[in-house]
Amino acid sequence: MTQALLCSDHQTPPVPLDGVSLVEGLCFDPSAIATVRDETQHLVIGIHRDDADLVRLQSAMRRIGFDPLGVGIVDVSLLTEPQPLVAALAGAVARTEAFPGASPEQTMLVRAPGISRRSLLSAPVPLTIGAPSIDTRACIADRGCRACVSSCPVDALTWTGGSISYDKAACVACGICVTTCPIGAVVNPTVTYAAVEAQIAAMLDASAASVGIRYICRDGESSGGPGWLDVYVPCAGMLSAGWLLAPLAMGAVATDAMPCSESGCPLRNDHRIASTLTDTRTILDALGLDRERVGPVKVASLTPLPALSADGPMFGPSMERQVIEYLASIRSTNTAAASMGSAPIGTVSIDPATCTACALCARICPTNALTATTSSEVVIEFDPRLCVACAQCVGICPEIDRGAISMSTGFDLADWARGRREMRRDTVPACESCGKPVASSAMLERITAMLGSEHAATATILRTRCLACRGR
Amino acid sequence: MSSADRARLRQGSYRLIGSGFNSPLTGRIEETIQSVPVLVELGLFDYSYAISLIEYVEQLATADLEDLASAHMAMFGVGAGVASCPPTESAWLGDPHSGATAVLLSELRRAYLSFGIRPRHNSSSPLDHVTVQFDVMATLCDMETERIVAGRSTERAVRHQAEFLNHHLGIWVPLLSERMIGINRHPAFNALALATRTLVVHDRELLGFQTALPQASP
Repeated sequence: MTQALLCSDHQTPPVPLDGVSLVEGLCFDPSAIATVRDETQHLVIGIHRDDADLVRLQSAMRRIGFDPLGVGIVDVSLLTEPQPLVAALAGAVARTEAFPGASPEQTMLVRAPGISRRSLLSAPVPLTIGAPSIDTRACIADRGCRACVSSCPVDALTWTGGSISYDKAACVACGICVTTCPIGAVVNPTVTYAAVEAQIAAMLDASAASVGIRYICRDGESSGGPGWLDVYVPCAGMLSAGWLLAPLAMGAVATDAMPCSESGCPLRNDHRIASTLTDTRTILDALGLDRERVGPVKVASLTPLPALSADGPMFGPSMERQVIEYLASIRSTNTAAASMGSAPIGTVSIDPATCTACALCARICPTNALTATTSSEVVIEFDPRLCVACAQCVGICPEIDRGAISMSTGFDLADWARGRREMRRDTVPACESCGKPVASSAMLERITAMLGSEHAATATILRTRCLACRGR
Repeated sequence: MSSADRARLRQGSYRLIGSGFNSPLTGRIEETIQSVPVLVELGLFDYSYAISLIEYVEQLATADLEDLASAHMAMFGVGAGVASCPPTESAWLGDPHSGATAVLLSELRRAYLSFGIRPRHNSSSPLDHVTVQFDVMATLCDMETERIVAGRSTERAVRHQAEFLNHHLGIWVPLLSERMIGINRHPAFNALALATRTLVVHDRELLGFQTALPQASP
């Protein structure tokens, strides 16, 4: 069972709440959570963030056997009305129940925000937060993927010899690698797709009136506002357009993202947050939906989008396509299109005149948007619905200087409807010795041209023998 | 919590968990259980390994001694043939016949001496045994405490701890822990495995956290 404890200082909850126990002075004396019942499996605590000492609160949670990372915390300072309080608690309960557990490697020690009373007088005790970990069984770094590496703002991730190395000491647990990984191989147990979706769904279910969902950095402070409910994430820079669109698809009337400080993101992710907000508005524009739903708007004046039954969860790796398709179905449109700055949806173009059909692009593509089959011919195909605009295909192309491949960010529903299509086809000569494929004709021609006439003999061997037979 | 208390807490935690790899004896188990309130008093719950350490002690307190002894024998192979979870660093190095064991033991001896420690060892507790290595960490924590109390710099003691964790315990203990949990021989040893890994992973990070901060007063 799940139990919620609510600090009753400053204000009494506006209504008696089922399953919620009021605890006087909880923020100042966290040991009061020891009143939690033995049969409680999940715990949610309502506190006033300005009063509470999070380090002591975590210590008190451990004392009663709870992993602090799995305990839902709601800042009740600004929740003075019954409906928002009930909805926020319902959301915290759902997120807590969806907490998958954290291994020792998935935790990180940081200094508690602000200066606690205790730390002034003694050795500072760190705050424990969730840290990312890489599921090496799912990770496709061995195929060359390094999407997480290039997204990390503090260079805590490096790609070496087909695997990702993680430097926890450098990591700030911002969560960007989690949302950048196109296949969900990077996990932070405190901000899983399933838990965030469960939280938002529960908040919306528990709200009778129109509600806006606002993502806030873990160190940020809610600005309140009627109708807005907060979802804490490690850093607003981790959000993509899909994260902002999903609440609208689930029934929220507005969506927003707030950095942790008015003076800007300490990780300098302000541009990411601004781009994501812009991309989200662009997508709404393209779909004929109200772009004013994104940002700090007056929630009461808006009504939810019509609801359809969704096929499965909204949140997940590379979630943009699913959310856009859902929103398009609401609008009954299949022709919307937009170009964007940074949203993780893209389209790849291949120039057959300069592409040598080496298929490295397909090998590195993490989502199999680009695929290649090789027999007597090499065929490279592309499915725009799967492209996450990671641009790794562009980065790896050996003929990029000749413009063999390019990528644009954006979507086109008509193009998506066409599905997978052939981008490049070329013949593959068979090895004269063993009969196995040598390489694409275009690549062999390119190599021959580069070698020139003085290496004609070498070129002939390269053209007619596979790699294994060349030394024989 | 003072800096000295934190060092004492870590010392006690290493001793408690390290002793879990010794043969289970009634007196030893009682001693383990009795040491918990002392660790709690020192601020155990301020640290994330507290939950797994308490879980281990709870499992230990309710376990049947014969079952424990039988699981201990099967896993760690004291006095028997090949252990399913060898509690020695050399067993996790790869080919035991390559001479790597001798090199490791010699390296460990040098490291211990450089720390100012002359550990006791015998055939059942060689220098690379987890209990010996945890005892070394506990002794280094004790040295840190003494220096804090004497008002001297702890930099050297802390650096030795970090080096030892980074070069030895932090590398092979997670592998041992994973094997112990995979074999799933006894709930108390599963809990010990998690507590061991959690302490080592957490302590590596704590030392990094500690050294990044200005020195606190004793």
